[in-house]
Amino acid sequence: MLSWERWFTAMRPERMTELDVLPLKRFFLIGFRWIAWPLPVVLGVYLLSACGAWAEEPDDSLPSSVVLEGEVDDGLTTPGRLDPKRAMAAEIEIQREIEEGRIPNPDPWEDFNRRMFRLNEQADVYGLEPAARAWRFITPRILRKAVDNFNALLLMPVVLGNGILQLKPKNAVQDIARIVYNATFGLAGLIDVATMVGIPQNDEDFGQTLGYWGVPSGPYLVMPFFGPSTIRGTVGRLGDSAGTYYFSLMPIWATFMVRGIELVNLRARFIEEFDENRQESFDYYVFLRDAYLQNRRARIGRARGENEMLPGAGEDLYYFDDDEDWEAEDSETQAPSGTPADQDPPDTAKAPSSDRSSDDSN
Amino acid sequence: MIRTSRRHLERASAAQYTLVAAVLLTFFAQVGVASAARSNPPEDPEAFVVAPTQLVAETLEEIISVLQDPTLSPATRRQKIEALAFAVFDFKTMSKLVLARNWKKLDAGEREEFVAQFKVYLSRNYGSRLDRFRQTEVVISGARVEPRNDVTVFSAIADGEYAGVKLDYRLRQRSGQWRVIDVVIEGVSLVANFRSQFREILSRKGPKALISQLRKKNQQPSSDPSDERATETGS
Repeated sequence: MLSWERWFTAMRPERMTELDVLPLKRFFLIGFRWIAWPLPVVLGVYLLSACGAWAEEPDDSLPSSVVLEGEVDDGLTTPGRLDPKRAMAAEIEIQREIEEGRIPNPDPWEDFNRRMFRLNEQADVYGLEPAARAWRFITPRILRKAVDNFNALLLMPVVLGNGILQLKPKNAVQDIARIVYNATFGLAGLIDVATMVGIPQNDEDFGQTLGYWGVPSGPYLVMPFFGPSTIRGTVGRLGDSAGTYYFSLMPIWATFMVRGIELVNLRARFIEEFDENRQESFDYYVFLRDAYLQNRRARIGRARGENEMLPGAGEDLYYFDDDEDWEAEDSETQAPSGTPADQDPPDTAKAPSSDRSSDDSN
Repeated sequence: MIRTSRRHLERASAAQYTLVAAVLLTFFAQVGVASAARSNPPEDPEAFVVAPTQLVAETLEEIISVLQDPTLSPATRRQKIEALAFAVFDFKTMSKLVLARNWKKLDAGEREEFVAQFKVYLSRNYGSRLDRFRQTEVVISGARVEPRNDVTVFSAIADGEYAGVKLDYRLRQRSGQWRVIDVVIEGVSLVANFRSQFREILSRKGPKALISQLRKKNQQPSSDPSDERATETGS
């Protein structure tokens, strides 16, 4: 995109006039120069620390890493501390399930993702979350709501554009009406008048548009600082940044302020949720991954007009085995004498054939 | 000659077809009886869906009225909601679905223990969440019969901070009673999420480790003061 010459020029605005660039592009370059210097440094530090985090195995501090003879391994130890034989068996088991197609593996890059996830967690715990708490402490609820509304209006071009890309004229009309209402009666977006008069807030982004046109999600990917995504989601995010092009026309500090406040404000809404999820989940990484993938799948289903989850999509989730076994279990509960160890091994051959259709995760 | 033989053949084949058909019919009838209740779609889906929808609607109404009752102390409010939820959720089926094929690897005692602990876990963790949904109206937007006669009831939160959040309940009929077997919040299924969290623990460390980890979670002091009782029921 940028030649090296332009890269350096971007960092030396006094040379800008030497280049014959269009005004619009010049705006971009001027905006770019502010992040041109720190960008490689930040990325470099980030990747280096990612390698560092990988080398240091951060769960070392857990006290239960030594499993005493006869004591039950409570699963709180790191996977790395496992008896290698059992670890191997577990790998084989998981691999087998994946090969049988029962589990679509949405996360082939788990090692990398977990590292990125860990760093994002650190960034959140030491940066974003304290900021969000402070923000919530100093602002009244109504102001936070106004910020939410304002940001929703700022992002409306993205929603509108994607509605058009998905050939949904009704949505596009709704979006335009929403922009008009909120920008005028809503005092430049501070008050959500459109919702009051019954214009729905559509939920569209370029990732959904890609999904709408049948682009597969690709592997799960945790982006540094941006959190859970997939390949498609990443491309979608880049596409959406075109919808907020006007950010590059603002001075860079204004962009950072607007987006920063937006982020902190959003985070402040979910402080308790994050705490609870972290505390309660058994594997927060898996929890977050599954929640993200399922939520995206549902939203793309909605974008496709399948309103809710596809009928039959949960076939494998809700009926993983043949019926007779369930009935047998029922009778067993009435007379609890049967020894489950004697029961038939799980019959994988009878897996419902609709498995495949439910595999297209996002 | 040819004609008669052909007619003979035809007659023979007709008889054979009848025989085969009869055999097949009895065979399928026998096979079908076992799972007839589940695999035959209901004749009138709209009527079929009424009972589960009503169950969800009534339970939601009761829960919301409990949440909005200012006279209750947090602990009693909690207890009431728990009682309502325990009557509606089928924890055993949920546990089975969550463990999936690993359910077979647990022996009878472990299964019972797992169901009990999982129940405590859910009531502890989702109970504390519910406390935030004070002034909330939930609207039921419809229901659908799923392929094997489960029913999904769709609802959405209508007002408050969480306005627009979609909640779907999947219900299954067991011996004549409808029970909730999964809750899907904004497309995120409780069963699916726990299944993938547990899968790794189960295959790496086994069921005993999972149960003890669950127990440990249940004994952790929680930020919510009203649920000290939960640890007692869990033991």
